[in-house]
Amino acid sequence: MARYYELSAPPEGLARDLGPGGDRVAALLHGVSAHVPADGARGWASEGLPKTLAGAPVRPTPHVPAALLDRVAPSWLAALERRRHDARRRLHATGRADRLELAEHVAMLVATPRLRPADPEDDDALAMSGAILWLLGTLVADALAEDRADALAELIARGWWPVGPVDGAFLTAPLDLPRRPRGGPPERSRHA
Amino acid sequence: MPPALTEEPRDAAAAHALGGEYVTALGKIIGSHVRNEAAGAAVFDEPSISLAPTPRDKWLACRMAMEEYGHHLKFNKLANELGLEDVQDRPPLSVFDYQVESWTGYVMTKAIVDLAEVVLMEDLCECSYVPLRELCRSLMPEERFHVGFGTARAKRLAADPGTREEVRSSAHRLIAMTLPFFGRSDSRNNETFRKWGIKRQTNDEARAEFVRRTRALLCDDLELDYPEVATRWPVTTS
Repeated sequence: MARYYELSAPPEGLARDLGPGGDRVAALLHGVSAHVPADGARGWASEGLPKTLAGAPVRPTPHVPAALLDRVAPSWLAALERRRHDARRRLHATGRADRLELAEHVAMLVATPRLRPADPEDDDALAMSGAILWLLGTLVADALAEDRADALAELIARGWWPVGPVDGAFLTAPLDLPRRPRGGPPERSRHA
Repeated sequence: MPPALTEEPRDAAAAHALGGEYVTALGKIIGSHVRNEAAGAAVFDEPSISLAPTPRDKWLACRMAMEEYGHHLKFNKLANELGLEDVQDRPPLSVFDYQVESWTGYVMTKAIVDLAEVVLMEDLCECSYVPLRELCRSLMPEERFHVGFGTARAKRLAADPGTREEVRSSAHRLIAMTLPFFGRSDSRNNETFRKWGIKRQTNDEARAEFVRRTRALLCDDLELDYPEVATRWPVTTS
């Protein structure tokens, strides 16, 4: 199996190497590398978002205040945790643990440095970064195990972080939010 | 600069030009970090993500797990550049036998085991092998954040009567398990590391610094007692 030490984008042939679901994993990670540029934050536009997710109206937001982080619905997080667990168990049971390891390895290499906050002590930004990494890990495993379209994966591929259900709405924020200067989107941002 | 060196090696070729003893010594240090960073991510961090009591803590645990795995890869890249083989052949240190069964147990690994890593890495931030020195300097902000996270959460948990005793017992156990991390008191390896300027501290000096900082954490910050431990380690470690 191919081993990499550094990657700025998913490697050529990743989808083929991963087998079923590999094209979905590659699309997800290409979305991260396209929408979280290594050189800083991008603008944002909310066109084309789904109307609802997880049974709640989708609400795009340029900021996720720290106080909101702990109000993401625990039941939604628990359901994702189960998806991750079930997908991993299935991949191990079907002899694809090495494919899972490769996909997680590449996901970590592509996403972790790109989502590193400008200030290494900014624990709000680190928590947001960790939230996206955790979701990516879940979606990578699920894509390999199920090979089916997924609304959360599609949002990430289009540059959105599906934060989760908070107070009756499903929050989505720009995928590069952890890297942005605190206090809001950059000047060149545009709101739809 | 130590007498054995006339110039600090800036790349793998320059390290090899100094001879086998220098490269072997570097390999022992780098290999240990390759193994232990991976073990930390796999044994402590990754399983603890699901133990987190809040979304914010879950996500911070995930970020730290990914960072530890990233450190493993960066040390592995350094090993590869030096042409070191079999760096993963040996088992990780025995401290990774510690079973994390609760969020409190995990928090204490960040406050104590990662602190041992910081003490060792601070020494390597002055290492004569420039690529290793630069790597360690670049990783220090993340390592310090991990310890700060553990310390801040430990203070909260120690202030809660429901978790205070678990903080204490985890800390005592982890401190005892972490002491061998620094190597034997009479270590030939450490003599070689210091001869070549790879390390500056003896194993006992590094261990004493770890004891000093963990004593400050337990006795001053958490207002707990400190376990009885020896700062010398005369036996062979794994």
